Amino acid sequence: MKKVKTYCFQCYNGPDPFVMVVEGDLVRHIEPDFDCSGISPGEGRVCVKAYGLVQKMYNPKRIKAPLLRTNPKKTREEDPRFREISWEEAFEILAEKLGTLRKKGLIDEKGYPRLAVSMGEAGSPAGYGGTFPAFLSAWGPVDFTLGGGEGSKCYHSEHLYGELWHRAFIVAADTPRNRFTLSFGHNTNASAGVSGAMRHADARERGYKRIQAEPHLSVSAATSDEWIPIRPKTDAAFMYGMIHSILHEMNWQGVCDLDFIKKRTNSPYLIGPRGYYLRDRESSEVLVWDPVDGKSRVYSDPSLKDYALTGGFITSGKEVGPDGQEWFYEEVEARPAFDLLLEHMKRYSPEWAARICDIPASTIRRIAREYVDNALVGEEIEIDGERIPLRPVAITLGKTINNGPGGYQACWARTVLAMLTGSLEVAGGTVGASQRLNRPHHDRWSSIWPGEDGFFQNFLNPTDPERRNKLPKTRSHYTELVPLVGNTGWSPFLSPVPHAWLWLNQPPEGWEKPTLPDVWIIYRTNPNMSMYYTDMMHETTRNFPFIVAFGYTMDETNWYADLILPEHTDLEGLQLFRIGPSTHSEAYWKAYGFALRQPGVPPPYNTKDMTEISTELAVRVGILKEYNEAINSGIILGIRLQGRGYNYSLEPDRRYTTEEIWDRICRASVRLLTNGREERDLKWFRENGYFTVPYPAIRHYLHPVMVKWGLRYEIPYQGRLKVIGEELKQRLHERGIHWWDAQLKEYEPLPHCEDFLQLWDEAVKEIGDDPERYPFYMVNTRSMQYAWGSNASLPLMAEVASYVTGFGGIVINASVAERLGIKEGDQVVVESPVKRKRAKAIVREGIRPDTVLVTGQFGNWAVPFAKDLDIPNINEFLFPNQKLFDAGGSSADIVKVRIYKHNEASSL
Amino acid sequence: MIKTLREGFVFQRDWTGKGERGLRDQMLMPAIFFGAISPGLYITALLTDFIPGLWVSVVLNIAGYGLAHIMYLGRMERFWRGLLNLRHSWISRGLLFNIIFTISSTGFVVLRSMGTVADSDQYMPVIKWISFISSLLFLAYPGFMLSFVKAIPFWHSAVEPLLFFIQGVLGGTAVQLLMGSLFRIDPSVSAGLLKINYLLVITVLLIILSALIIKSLHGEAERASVMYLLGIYRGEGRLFLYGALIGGLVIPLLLLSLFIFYGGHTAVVTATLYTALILELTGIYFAKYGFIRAGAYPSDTIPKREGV
Amino acid sequence: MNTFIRQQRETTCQDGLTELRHYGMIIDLTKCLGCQTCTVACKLFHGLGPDIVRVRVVEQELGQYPDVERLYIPLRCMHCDEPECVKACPTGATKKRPDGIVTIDRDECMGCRYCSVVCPYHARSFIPVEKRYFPESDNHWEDVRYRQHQVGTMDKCDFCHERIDRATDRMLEPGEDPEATPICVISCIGKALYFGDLNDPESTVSRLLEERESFRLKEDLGTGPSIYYLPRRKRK
Ligand SMILES: Nc1nc2c(c(=O)[nH]1)N[C@H]1C(S)=C(S)[C@@H](COP(=O)(O)OP(=O)(O)OC[C@H]3O[C@@H](n4cnc5c(=O)[nH]c(N)nc54)[C@H](O)[C@@H]3O)O[C@H]1N2
Ligand SMILES: Nc1nc2c(c(=O)[nH]1)N[C@H]1C(S)=C(S)[C@@H](COP(=O)(O)OP(=O)(O)OC[C@H]3O[C@@H](n4cnc5c(=O)[nH]c(N)nc54)[C@H](O)[C@@H]3O)O[C@H]1N2
Ligand code: SF4
Ligand code: SF4
Ligand code: SF4
Ligand code: SF4
Ligand code: SF4
Ligand SMILES: [Mo]
Repeated sequence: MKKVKTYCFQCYNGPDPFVMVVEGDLVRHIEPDFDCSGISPGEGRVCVKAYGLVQKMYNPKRIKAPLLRTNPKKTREEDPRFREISWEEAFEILAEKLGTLRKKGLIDEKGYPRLAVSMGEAGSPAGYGGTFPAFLSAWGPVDFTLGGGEGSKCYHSEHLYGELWHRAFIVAADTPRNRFTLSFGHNTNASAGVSGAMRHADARERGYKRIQAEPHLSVSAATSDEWIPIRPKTDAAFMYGMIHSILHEMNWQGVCDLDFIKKRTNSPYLIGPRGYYLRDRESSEVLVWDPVDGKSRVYSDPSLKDYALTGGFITSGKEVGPDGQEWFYEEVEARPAFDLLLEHMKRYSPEWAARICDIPASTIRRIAREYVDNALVGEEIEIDGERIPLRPVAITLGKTINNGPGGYQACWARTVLAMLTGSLEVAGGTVGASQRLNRPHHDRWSSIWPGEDGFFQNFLNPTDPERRNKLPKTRSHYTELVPLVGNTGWSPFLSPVPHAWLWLNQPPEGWEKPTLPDVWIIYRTNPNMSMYYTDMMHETTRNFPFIVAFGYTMDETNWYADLILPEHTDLEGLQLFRIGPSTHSEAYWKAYGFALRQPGVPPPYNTKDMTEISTELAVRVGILKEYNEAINSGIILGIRLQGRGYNYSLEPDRRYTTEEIWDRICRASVRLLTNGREERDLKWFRENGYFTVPYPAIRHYLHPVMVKWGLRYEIPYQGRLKVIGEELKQRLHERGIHWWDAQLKEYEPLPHCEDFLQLWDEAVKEIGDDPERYPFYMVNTRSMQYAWGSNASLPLMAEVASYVTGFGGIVINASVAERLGIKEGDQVVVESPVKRKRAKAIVREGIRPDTVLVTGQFGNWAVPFAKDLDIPNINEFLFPNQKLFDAGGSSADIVKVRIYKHNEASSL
Repeated sequence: MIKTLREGFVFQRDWTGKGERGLRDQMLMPAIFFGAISPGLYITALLTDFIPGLWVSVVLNIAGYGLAHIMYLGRMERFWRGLLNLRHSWISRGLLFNIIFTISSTGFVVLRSMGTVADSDQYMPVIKWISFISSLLFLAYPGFMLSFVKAIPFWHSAVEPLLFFIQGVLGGTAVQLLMGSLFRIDPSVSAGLLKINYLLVITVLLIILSALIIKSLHGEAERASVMYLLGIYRGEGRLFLYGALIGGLVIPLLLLSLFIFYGGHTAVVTATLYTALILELTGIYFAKYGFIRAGAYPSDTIPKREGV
Repeated sequence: MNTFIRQQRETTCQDGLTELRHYGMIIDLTKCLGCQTCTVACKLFHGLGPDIVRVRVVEQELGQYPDVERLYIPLRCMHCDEPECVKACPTGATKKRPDGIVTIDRDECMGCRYCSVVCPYHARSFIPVEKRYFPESDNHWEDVRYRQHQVGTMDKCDFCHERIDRATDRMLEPGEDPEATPICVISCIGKALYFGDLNDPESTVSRLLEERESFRLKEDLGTGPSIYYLPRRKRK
């Protein structure tokens, strides 16, 4: 038996290194890799999903050779009649197609890229795609906005506002040092991977307190100390009630971290009568009020003695509004942002929140109290020789809390609560895990530079008339609609992707209908299942002129493909990938570096490695030079092949084998990590798996770098968003576009909160149906056993998932079920205004009576094995309504349904 | 499994479940049924010296009990291994009793029927006694087997051996009485058998009723078993209620009462008798099936205590 | 580790005797999250086909809305001190080793399932027929890895005794060295499982039993399970 080191990156919590044990030409089983237990946050272990990889590899229902469609008619009902072809033939067809595209021009008549590429699974294709990114970079403009639900359906608001406020695409609790976590549907036990599961298990053993607010008793709620069965989509209201309680019912000066509020946030910034920052008339710097000297000064004035947080002060200054419009004041009353916050929060009492959340006001008060009591304001801790505040309280938000209406409010309230206790980016508190919109992706400290107004820099899409129209076009028009998302590599994925799809069918008034891409490449995504509005998705994608899929099994999207190329799966391919210092979730490493994914045995089927496919395509399309140069320039993992004292560059016109390419990247990677001092080749990586250098724990906290640069988080007052929102409104109204007005309302400096759930009732009304007919809110959850829908084809996963509540049907409250005459295992009909489906009832006490639950991403009809599971997918029941989108273009996985017992008469 | 855990008990499925081996998984119940009827009949036939009864008993044992049981095994060819653990296993001993019974009863019946060896032969009483005692042990053993199962409280009592034993004898009398129409039996003997049968029906009925009442007062799993048998649990288990209790005991009791107290010899009356006897036999089957099927484990509940 | 025991240990390791040990497992219900990693790791390592599981993690929902709790309870063979299965098994295929591990000899089992009925912990699975995850297609992996299955026999957790035996031969300590520890224990992502020698007062398992409250399942039956549970800890 031989041990082969590799990693799993089936979900973004990885990569998690492990060992495959090989016997003869067979991968026998897999084991943890305890060699890396000291550096990996998962201590070398892998989760249940990783153990499915062996079955994934030997799955006889895989696509075993390239497939060519022979039935030109693309419908769901008709068999595509795929024919197995040779790789030679497949490459020929594809190169021919792509060649034509290049001849016609990379951009079509209307200005859209002719090539569109969708990669899903929230970024995990990067751990599998080999040098495919180099191919795409060599190609030129590509539209990435026809995505499959990642980004727009994920932690959408957290991504956008997190990066804006504290460079955190994803945040997590600093669980190992935490005393108190309040989680709104952050389903760690399902979604936070090995490291999240382990950190929380350790924290439970140690005795931290965790409260889970969620409409059903999830696997995470089950291990929490308390479950708060909150009404869906009302999380923001709960937090507003908490803020109110802290600011207006407690002595906030006594319980809050005043030092943090004054120095690290824009709380003391003076706000003018028009709601913009009040600035110095000459320098345009923002003003604050020094209560000791009794006058205003610019925020950066070193002679400042203290900052006023409350009150109104008469001073001179100016306000700068949209499009550079200025208002000068000799004498004007200005108030610190914090004072406005106090006033703003007055109306959001716990009683107000209680009505919306269906949770007693006393509970909200108690939790607010526990929250501040556990914050230990004033305490410090030493990490790596540096003293930083210890504020062991955190609030975390799950997926549905984060997207659609209310998402912004929830994120804002969460960050304000962190601000009040000074628990943002310090030990024990709320800590960013990664950033994706800003570079470098792997190190948050180096991504911070001083920007305007004492905040760090952010690169948002311009909202001024000149610059905004010069940006390249994509089908989601994100540069025009979502300033916050910026324009970097990850921006397209966070853009209003659902709108791109909607517009391909029916653009709104005054909006151009985008063209279909000439060629659409899909890789590790299944938009027809994972995007909202499943039926519409099918109608749209089946009309695409030419679809190429890198595939694993048949699925609901590549069903419409013209050509399917089967790639090596996880245990078969070869590539280097970054490990550490932190990824999307709670995976904070003690080191960072690079790990190798490598084959242990010859692949059982006629599949190919993504690097080999990419190189072959580059050669055939005639862009080998650009491809090699892209690799040289560091497009792969940011590893340049040339540096001081070494040069592993590929010669532009030479074709390299997959091993040669990775050998060079391996060598360059170690040089990069060791400042050129050391070198390791592919052979070394094959034996040792990974090369890392230590990563100081202190670098996981933004606090020291904020202090170093003297920077502030732009919280609580959204001065900049206000300006941007107004500019955006101008631009859109200039074009006569008013359908984005609801979204524009979100650009509020202090967001208002309401009962967002009622919007889902209104949406039902708007399509002419009666919300009373649909008494339940359907929500969706993840399970640890599944990586989205990507491993749904594995019967082994279904077997073990069947031990966990929620798999296989629809969960309904026991007393409600009794009332409806529904028993465990009964077939029921689930009906939303647009869809009716049959499902198995799972009857439980642990769910709100007004809520029903499905487990994520099934509903398949093409994926082998999964298609027989008969589990509903929430996306089928959803229907579009402009009201249900937030300013980022994301909506939420929630829909009103009714449920009744299935009988033979209900024709299903 | 998960579902039933919530309910605080789990029904056993190893012996009565619809397995994946089709008929073979269903063979244990016929085996247990014939494993009761055969020694039961042997006992009555031996005591009344009813040779056709002995023959039938031997056939039911070998073809009914033996074959069915072997077919039920996952590895038929290893059936002999069942005798290897006599020291520890009651099952092993039960199988031994069966083997002894099989050999001795067959030997006895063959020798007895050939008539070559006289009753006075010195070996005959020995064989007769061995077969008699082993038939008693064999008859009692399935009941003991159940009562040894600590894991299933419904079974884990002294009632089972008693019940199973009496049911066996009841079955034996019923079969012998049924055979009375084909083979001539001394009328006084059959009248006696009938009375015994009548009394046994009453006894079984009383045992079952009191067992159900007593057991229903115990733990949750036992209550679940009783509810199952009364058809209260999801309407399952009605076969016991109607097949064993009402059909197999109450109705035969009424019919037999008619027969015994109002007597007569008309065809109608004879038909009534035979109906009652056949119902008794099916009732025994359903009763055993029900008792075994209803065996419920208390779930692996975490004991309720502070901090748990 | 106690030097005396260590010395004894060394001799016992060498001549392969195991009398001085009593292997057991501790399951911390505070840490288990019901992820089923143990289940699947065991299945893969032991090459178990569909529906054959040696460890199941079951859920138990307690209470009524809104005061509801759910527990995750990993269940596997308890390696009882007084194993009902051993007392039932007519062939003697099920045996108890001196170190407490209860095993099944596949070649001796006749598939009568008495052991299964008498086991209070539902720890045993019968392999009724040749089963595949992919029945219609040939699958090389399943062909090779299921070869050890014997249709018509019983299967259950054996504390990965092959790992333990192989490793103790190499002087590794079960429960401490991953190579010598059951695969489910080393795979558990909640680190909820501990394995070791209950006879060694200084083993992790003994220390945990010393320090923390614990209980065993269905203790009243007198089966004497070698698996202890640490109750769920809650902060109010
Ligand atoms: N109903 C529902 N929909 C959702 C969500 C939900 O919770 N519920 N969540 C949303 C979120 S947050 C996200 S991030 C998105 C994710 O959604 P997607 O990005 O679309 O991801 P998957 O649905 O997992 O699709 C992955 C596809 O990759 C294929 N695949 C699997 N393994 C391989 C392989 O080795 N090689 C190749 N080439 N292909 C492979 C699978 O067959 C599958 O079709 O879904 C969103 N949509
Ligand atoms: N095992 C596994 N891990 C994953 C993934 C995976 O597919 N599988 N996907 C990864 C990706 S892409 C993402 S985006 C994350 C998602 O990670 P999470 O957001 O943690 O996970 P979910 O279970 O999708 O959703 C969170 C919970 O919120 C509850 N919920 C729904 N609506 C509401 C509401 O209005 N209020 C409150 N309070 N709760 C609500 C849901 O029932 C669900 O239990 O997981 C990541 N990790
Ligand atoms: S958490 Fe994600 S990356 Fe880590 S082992 Fe599990 S599936 Fe793989
Ligand atoms: S748990 Fe069951 S199988 Fe394991 S030793 Fe105890 S009685 Fe035997
Ligand atoms: S099934 Fe096998 S192990 Fe179980 S009692 Fe029968 S012979 Fe023994
Ligand atoms: S100890 Fe070994 S055989 Fe038992 S459950 Fe764990 S992995 Fe499976
Ligand atoms: S692997 Fe560990 S945490 Fe997960 S279910 Fe098993 S025992 Fe529980
Ligand atoms: Mo996601």
